[in-house]
Amino acid sequence: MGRRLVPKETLGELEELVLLAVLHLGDSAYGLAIVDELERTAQRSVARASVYVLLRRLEKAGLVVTRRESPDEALGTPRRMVRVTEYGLELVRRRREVRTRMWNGIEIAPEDA
Amino acid sequence: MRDGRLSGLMLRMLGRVLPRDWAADIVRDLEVAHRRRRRERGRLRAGAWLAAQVVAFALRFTLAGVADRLRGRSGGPAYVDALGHDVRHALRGMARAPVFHAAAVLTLALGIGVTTAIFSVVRTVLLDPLPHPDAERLLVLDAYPWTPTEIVALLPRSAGAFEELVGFYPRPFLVQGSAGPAEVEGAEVTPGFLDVMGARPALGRLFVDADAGPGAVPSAVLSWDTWQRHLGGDASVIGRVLRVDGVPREIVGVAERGFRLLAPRTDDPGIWVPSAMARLGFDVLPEGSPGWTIPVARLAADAPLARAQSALDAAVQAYREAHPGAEDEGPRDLRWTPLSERLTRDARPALLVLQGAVGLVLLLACANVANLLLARNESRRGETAVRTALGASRWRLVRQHLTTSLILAGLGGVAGLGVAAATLQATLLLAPPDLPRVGDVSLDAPLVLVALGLSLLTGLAVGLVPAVGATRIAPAPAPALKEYTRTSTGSRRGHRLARGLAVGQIALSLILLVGAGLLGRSFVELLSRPPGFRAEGVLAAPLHVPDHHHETVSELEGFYARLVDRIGQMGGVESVAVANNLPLERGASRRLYLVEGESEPREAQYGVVSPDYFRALDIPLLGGRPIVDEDWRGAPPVAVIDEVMRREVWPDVDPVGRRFRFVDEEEWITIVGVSAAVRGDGLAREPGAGFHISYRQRPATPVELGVGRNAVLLVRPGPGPAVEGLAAALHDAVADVDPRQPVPEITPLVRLVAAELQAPRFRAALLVTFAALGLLLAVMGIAGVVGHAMAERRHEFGVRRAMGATDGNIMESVLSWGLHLAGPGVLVGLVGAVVLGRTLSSLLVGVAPADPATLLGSVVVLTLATLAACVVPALRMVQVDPTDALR
Repeated sequence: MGRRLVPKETLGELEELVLLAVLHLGDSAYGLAIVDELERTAQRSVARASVYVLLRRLEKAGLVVTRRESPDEALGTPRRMVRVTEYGLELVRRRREVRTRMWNGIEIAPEDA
Repeated sequence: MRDGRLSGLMLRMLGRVLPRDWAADIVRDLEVAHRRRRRERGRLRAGAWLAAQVVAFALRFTLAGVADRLRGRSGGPAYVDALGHDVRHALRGMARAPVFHAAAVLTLALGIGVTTAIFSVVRTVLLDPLPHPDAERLLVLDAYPWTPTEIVALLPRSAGAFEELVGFYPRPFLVQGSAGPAEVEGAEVTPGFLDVMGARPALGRLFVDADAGPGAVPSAVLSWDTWQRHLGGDASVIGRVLRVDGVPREIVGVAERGFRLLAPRTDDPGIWVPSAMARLGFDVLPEGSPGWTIPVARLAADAPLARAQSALDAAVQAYREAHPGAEDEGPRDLRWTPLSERLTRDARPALLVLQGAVGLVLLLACANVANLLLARNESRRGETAVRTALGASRWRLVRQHLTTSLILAGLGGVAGLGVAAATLQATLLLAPPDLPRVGDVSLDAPLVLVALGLSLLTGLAVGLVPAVGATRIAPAPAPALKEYTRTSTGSRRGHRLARGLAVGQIALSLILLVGAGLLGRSFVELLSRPPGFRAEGVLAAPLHVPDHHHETVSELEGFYARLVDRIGQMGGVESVAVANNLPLERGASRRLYLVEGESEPREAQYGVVSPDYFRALDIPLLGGRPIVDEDWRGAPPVAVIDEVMRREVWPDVDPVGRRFRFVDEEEWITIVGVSAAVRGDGLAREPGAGFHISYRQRPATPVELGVGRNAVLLVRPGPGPAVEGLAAALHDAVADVDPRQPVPEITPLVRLVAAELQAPRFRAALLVTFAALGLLLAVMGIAGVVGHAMAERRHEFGVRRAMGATDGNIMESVLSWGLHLAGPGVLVGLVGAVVLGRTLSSLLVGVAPADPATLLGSVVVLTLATLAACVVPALRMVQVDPTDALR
């Protein structure tokens, strides 16, 4: 059972955000792009180093796999591209279900309405 | 290029620390991000960012690795046990030699402490972004002598370069607050200015375009502090009328607490009034006259600075075409400068030099500790050999040595924080008050991280060389073991390393000494320079006459005349004068003039002064007569030129009776006297050509070119009364002549002259301190190396003693051994010192960058210090008892 991230098989917030950023980026997810994506979409400024530490940990835990390839056929050096595994997807999905259940029946208008 | 090499080195070092599977990818990503940042933020900031990232990555991955192992995630062996063992081993070793290790910790603490302290200043002053939105895109127009308003008016049309174009003009205002009249620093601003600088209203609103339009109700926005101090923080203040310079102005807003304006020539203004760029607030200025507004622009996103500059160049071109005669007197050198760069322009070279100097001190400290550890390892060679023989791996041994040095560095870092706090206090005490944002400098959490990061690097640097050196014996422990059982003579390699480090220390120390010598001599030179006048005893009081007082030029002149008369009649006053500026700031006023009979205009500084000016400041008159009461408006205009102007224009003839005129005016000015030269550009510069004219003979408009509304009152007291009494009497005299005139702040002129010396004193004092520290460290290092080497030659000295060597022979051979270290160190150091001198050149006054006296003096000091460091070991060798040594 070397696939456990934390004993309870749940995700921390940053772990969740990183996995979602990888999913967002699809085929072009690699370190630098993930940091940019987090800053852009999640509007979160994260310490670059934590993201890489986390990616490596997620890889060891089997939530993502990485592979050397070129992000752009035309130009670009080979990069370590990141993809979410089935197991990672399952954890993200589970997390979302928990949230949906928790939000059920709560009525809060969005901020600017 | 150097920058690229440094970043490459940092990344390569990081690559070694990172886990192998990810290292290459992380390094490449950082490289890309660094390049991007360098394009956006500039080389210096990108470099600092990269350094921070490298430290962060190294720390995070190391910590993550330790955490993983602690949780047993990587399934490694009992790593923690081994680590614990190493730490215990290191601590036991330290406990056995407490003085030795305390000295090492103290040395590292000094190095890390001063480096952190100076970095805290550099970070706040040079690296932190300004507290304005998109501050990196804010530009300020640097112009000489001013920016004509037409040019500014032409700018917005050149689309695409600017997102915003605003302007401000800082000046004091007379505010009728709830506690009486008070002078408040403020600025006239274009309506969008406060928005661009990131102000938000705490009450009411900021300015809108209509506030500066025709027929607008005069309005004002207050800073939070002004609102609190002068209006008691009354919340119903919006809509109330406040008299500002006598004009009733409606208060439309109060800026949010903490909003600060960081801009040239202003410091925390407390009140803002709107002004259209075209009008600029000087009612006496005729339409189209030069504007005093300082334009500020926000560069359009993605637009390069070059686009803004070419837009400006085009506007200048258009202006020149519209004003064909303007080449001579018109604007020159119009340049957009990033606001942050403009603010730190004066401080930057000195701060970078100081940062470099403390870096050298840190290196010296590292070399010292490395040498100490090396010496200690030498004496523990036998122990190492035994352990190798018992099967300890080389990595294990290296790790053990590293653990010791990392613990030393860690302790040094913690103690260094104390040193940093003390150094910072002293630094801030000495810092010139015009150092931007110096009040914000503090030791905060990121700086603690910097100090700890430095400690980590120091620990590695200090430990790695001796550790690897000490374990070199590992493959062949037998000879070392043999040595161990016989005597404890050190290895040749170890000696060479130690000598190399000592030579390096001598070189670094020489560089520091030369730097300190150059700055120290510059400071002494400044101190000894005659300013061209005698400031001792003179009281200076800046006068700001609000726009609505004495509105016409003749009324203004009348006010000054009555003031001078009234003060002149007071007891205890020898002479009194008004002038348009302080003598050391005369260079700020310069005009082009045409000598009668010449066609090419020349440029000179000028002072507009009242008759007793030369007497009040004790400026010697070399010929002719001074300006006198009879030089009225209506009488032929006269001038007293100074020695420099005479030498420049009339080197061989008496200039008295010759004439010149301002290029843009018709009337000829007759020279009536020649005075001694005055350093109108400050003490650091040679005196420039200049002349003085009577304040009553300036053309009526524009008033600012005469004595104007901002003048300075200069009073030389006679022998006798205390200065305090005179200051009070001066206040009364001002109030007597015009009770509406705000009470001027009276300062001894010597203090204003001394203010000129503050920045040079700051640089020189710090660099001298660091050089002394460096020299101390070097002496300690040399003494250590010499002492160690001599101790190992005890036997030899014993033999020589037995063969009849005298005390002198022994002393001589120890001292010459020391001097052999100094030789190569001095040579390397001299090369470094010459390079340093060149970087320092902008800070030097009256001293050449490669000043032979300073170089020679530093070499002598260093040689003496080296000899001093050798004296104790030499004396010890003299005392060697031959029978004892040979036994």
